[in-house]
Amino acid sequence: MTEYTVKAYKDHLMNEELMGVECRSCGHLMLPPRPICNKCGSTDLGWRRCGGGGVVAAKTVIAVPLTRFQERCPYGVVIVTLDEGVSVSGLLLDENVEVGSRVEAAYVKEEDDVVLAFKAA
Amino acid sequence: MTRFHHRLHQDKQGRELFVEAAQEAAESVDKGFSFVDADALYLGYFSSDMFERQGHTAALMADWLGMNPKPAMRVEDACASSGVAVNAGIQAIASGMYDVVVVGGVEKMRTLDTTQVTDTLALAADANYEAGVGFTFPGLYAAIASAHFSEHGSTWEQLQQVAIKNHVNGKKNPKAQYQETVKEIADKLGERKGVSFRDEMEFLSSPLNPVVASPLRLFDCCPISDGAAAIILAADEAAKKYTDTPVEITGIGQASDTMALHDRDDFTSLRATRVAARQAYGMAGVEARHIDVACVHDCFTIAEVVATEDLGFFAKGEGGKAASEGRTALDGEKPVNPDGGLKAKGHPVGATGAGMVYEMFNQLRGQAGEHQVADVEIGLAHNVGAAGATATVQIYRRG
Repeated sequence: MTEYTVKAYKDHLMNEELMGVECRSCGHLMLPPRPICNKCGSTDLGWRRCGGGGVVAAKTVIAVPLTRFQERCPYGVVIVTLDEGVSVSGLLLDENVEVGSRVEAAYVKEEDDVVLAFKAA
Repeated sequence: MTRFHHRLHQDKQGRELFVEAAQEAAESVDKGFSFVDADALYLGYFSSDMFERQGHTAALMADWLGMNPKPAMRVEDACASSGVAVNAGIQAIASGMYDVVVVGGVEKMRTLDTTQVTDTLALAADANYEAGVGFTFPGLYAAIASAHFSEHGSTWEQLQQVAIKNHVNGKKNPKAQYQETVKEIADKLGERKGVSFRDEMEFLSSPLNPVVASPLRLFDCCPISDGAAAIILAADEAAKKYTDTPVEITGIGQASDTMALHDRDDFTSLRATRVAARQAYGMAGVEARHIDVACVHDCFTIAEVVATEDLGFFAKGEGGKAASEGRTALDGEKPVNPDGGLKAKGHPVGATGAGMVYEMFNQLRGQAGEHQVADVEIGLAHNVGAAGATATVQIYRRG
């Protein structure tokens, strides 16, 4: 059974650690973690810590929200390409961030969940 | 196909919409058709579970069509549900297993309010890593738009020409949800609010066209719709029993991509579309330049721009410019979405892929009426699931 579960990833986020997995066979980095390398098919994987810094590759400010995010509305969401080369989606905590801006990871902790977020670096 | 609409079908359930569409299909068969002649049903329905609190909908629809004990299968591939159902039906016939199959799709969405629909559509994105950080479905395409603007220099103004064009086409389609031009809607809303607009762009830039997920505003988004579409597919020999002027399917393609947009190498292009198109063109022995008319998946204005690039109609980054130059208009060099597209025709999610086939059938038989494209021989239908984790393409030819 894989240890690279959604729960393990979220447990790391709760500890303010952004953990991906690296394929020991081809070196491909995956974030969030997966049980099988989506580049070479290997299952020989290991945890790898990401620094959390990166550049915004895509951005939107949402005005028609999901129920869960209604109280934040309007709120930004970004896709960030991290310094390690892998991209990930996160809630945006700062207004003055555009495509191309430098950001760093933040961790929004809720009662029983944690949301990966980014703020201006 | 039923008319796609946001109010018209309030008193009907999904089963009644699908039966209505299927009955129209059967009644339109030149030499007559009865559902007892069909060997199987393939049904696209994205979320009957959330919208109607009803599961097992393929068996339900087959039952309501009087097809028992013929096998029935539901396909759930988000907004590509019926595009995939059509391909599954084609594959079943090509395998030699069946001679005649009914394919189609339905979605009854207006049972929920806008926030609940937003929640339901977001189920088609990654629940943990996209919806879980706040992405809505419009939000994902807004992110694609932001990347497309940044990398290719396309503009929001160019996107508006997609919406304006699709409303011009929708006005000519009696099955469309919105049969009004953007200017007509602007004048009507303006009159109600005591303001007047010089042209479409002034209206589209105004607060009467509110932001949904920046940079996308209301008129960049397809509407919430109820509707159904059904198609009867037959093997070459079997088809002769039903018509002397069939429409042939000469190529199909289907591909998947990463569930999350952020896992892709390029946020301005849908790889699943490119792969599905390559397969379909190859099977049909045609190239993008041979396509006379196309229905592409314009769930958002940016989606039509990206699709026209990924399908090879225009070079990468040129789709917005091509739209703004009128090259995709009904009388343009490459007519796209003559039926009004998802934007004006409506987007009952599970019915959309089959609704495109309905349009192809009419276009290639020269019976599309006011929105008929002149001199069409070869057509293409392109259906996308969510932000491109699924895509289907079919190539059609006049029989």
